[in-house]
Amino acid sequence: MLEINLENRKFKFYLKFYGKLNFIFGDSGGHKSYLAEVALNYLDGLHRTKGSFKIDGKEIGQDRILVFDNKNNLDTYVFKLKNIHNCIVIIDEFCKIHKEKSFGQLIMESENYFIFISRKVYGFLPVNVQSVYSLSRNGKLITNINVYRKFNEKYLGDIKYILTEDSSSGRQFFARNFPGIEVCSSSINENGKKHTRDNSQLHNYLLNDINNGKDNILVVYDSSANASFYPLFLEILMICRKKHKTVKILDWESFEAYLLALPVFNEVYDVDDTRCQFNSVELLCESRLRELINYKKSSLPVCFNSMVSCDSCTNFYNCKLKAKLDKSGIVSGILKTINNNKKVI
Amino acid sequence: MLSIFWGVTKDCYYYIDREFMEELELEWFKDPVVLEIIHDIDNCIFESSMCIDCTDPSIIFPISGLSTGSKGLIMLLKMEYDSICIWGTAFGDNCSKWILKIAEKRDITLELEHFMKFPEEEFKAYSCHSKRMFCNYEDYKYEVLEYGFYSWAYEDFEPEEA
Repeated sequence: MLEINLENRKFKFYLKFYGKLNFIFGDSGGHKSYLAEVALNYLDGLHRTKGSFKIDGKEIGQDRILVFDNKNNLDTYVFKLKNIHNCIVIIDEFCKIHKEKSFGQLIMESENYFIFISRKVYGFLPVNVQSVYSLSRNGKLITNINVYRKFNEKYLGDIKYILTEDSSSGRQFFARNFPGIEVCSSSINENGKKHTRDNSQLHNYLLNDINNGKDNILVVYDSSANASFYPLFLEILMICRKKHKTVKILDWESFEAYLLALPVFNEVYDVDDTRCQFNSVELLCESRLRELINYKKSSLPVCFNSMVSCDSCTNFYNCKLKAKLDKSGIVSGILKTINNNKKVI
Repeated sequence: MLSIFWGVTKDCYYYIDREFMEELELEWFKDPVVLEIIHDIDNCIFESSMCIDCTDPSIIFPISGLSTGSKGLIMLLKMEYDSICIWGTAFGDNCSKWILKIAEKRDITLELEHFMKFPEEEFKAYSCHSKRMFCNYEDYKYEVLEYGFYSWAYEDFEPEEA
C-alpha cells in the first residue's frame, strides 16, 4: 500500500493507493494537477510544504519519489524510468513520457509504483478497476476515492449463456464445467476472418450477443485489468437494461485468482499483493500457478475439468494439486449459484 | 460548431496550461462568462488579479493556478481564431456543457482520447470519423463504443487525417 501525505498552507492531501498502476481522474478543478505541483514543492524543500510518502507503512526517502511533469525532455524521463526501482512515480497528464513510442512496454517492465494523473486509462496497461480514483475535497482535506466499484454479485441464478472476455483457459473452464450452458465461441468472425476474442472488445461482444437474441447472460471478465473499458461496459449494460435483457456480472480479479482461492490451494490475492513487481493480480496469480502446477494461460489444465479423473494423469510427481484435489471443489463460491437456488453468504 | 475527432494531431492545442499563459490577457477576466466559468469549474472568484476560493477565502492563488479545464475553456472563449483544435481529454465532464455553449458561436474540434460525457439534451456535434453530424447523443455514444475507444485502448492507434 502507498500512503501519500502532503500538506501546505492551502490543502492537505491524504491519499492511499494499492498496487503498481494507479490513475487519478475526474472533473476539472479537482486539484489533480495541483497534487503534482505540491509533490514537486515537497521534493524541492519548500518551507511551507510538509509530507511523507510510505510504502507498506515505511517512509521512503525523497530519492525514491519522482514527479514527471512536462518541463523536461522525453529522454530524461525515459532514462530515469529505466534506472529506478521500487520508487513512487507521479506522472502528470502532460508529461512527454506519454508520447514515448514504447511507453506501454516501459511501464510494464518498470518495477515501480505509478500514479498517473490522466483521464486516459490506457487499454494496453492492465489497470485494476479498483485502481482508478478521483480526488474528493472536504474543507482543506483532499482524499482519493474509487471511481468504479466491483459488481460483487451474490447470486447468479438462471444463466443460459456465458460470455468471457477472451478465448483462453477461463473460457475453457466454463465450457468444461458447465456443459449444460452455452459458452461463447473461442473465435469471432469479422469481415470473413477469424479473430480470437480480445478483452478490449468485450462490450461489443455483449452488444452483438443481445442484438442476436441472447438473454440470461453471465459476463465474465478480469477486473484486475479492465479499468480502461469499464465505462464502455457500463454503457452496454444500460442498453441491456433498456432492452429488458438479464445480464449478470462475474468480475473476479482474474480466473487465475479464482483457481488459487480454491480450497486445494487456499491462496487469496488482491491488488495490494502485486506490489510493484507484478503489473496486475492476474499476472501475479498466473506466475504463482506456474510455480505450483506449471500452468499455462493458453489452455486449461485437465485438472480443472471436474469431469476428468486424476487417475489417468501422468504428472503425479510434479503436481502438487493431485494429492489434494477434491473435484467437487472446482466449482466454488458464487459459481455454485449458477442455476441453483442457493445464495452465497 | 463542435467537431469530435478521435486521437491527437500535431496541430492541436495540447499543452493547454502553457498555451494559456502565452495567450493570456488580463482583460479576459472582465468578461462575466469567464468569471462564471471559473466559479463553476474552480469554485473561485477573481479579485484584484488573484483567484479566491469560494469555500475557503483564505485560499488564494494566481491565474496560473486555475485548472487546465478552466484555462482551456477561457482560451476557447476569448482567443481570436477561425477554427481551433484542442486536446479534449484535458477537460473534465464538468467542462462539456461549456464546450457545447462556446461551440454555438465558435468552430471547435475536440481531439478526444477518452469517453467524454456531455449533457444529452444540449449535445450537438459533428463526427470527424463518420463525416456527418451526430443524430443525437446516443449516436455519439455508439461511435465511442465502436471506434472512439481505440484512441486510448491501443498503443499503436493512428488518428485518421483531420
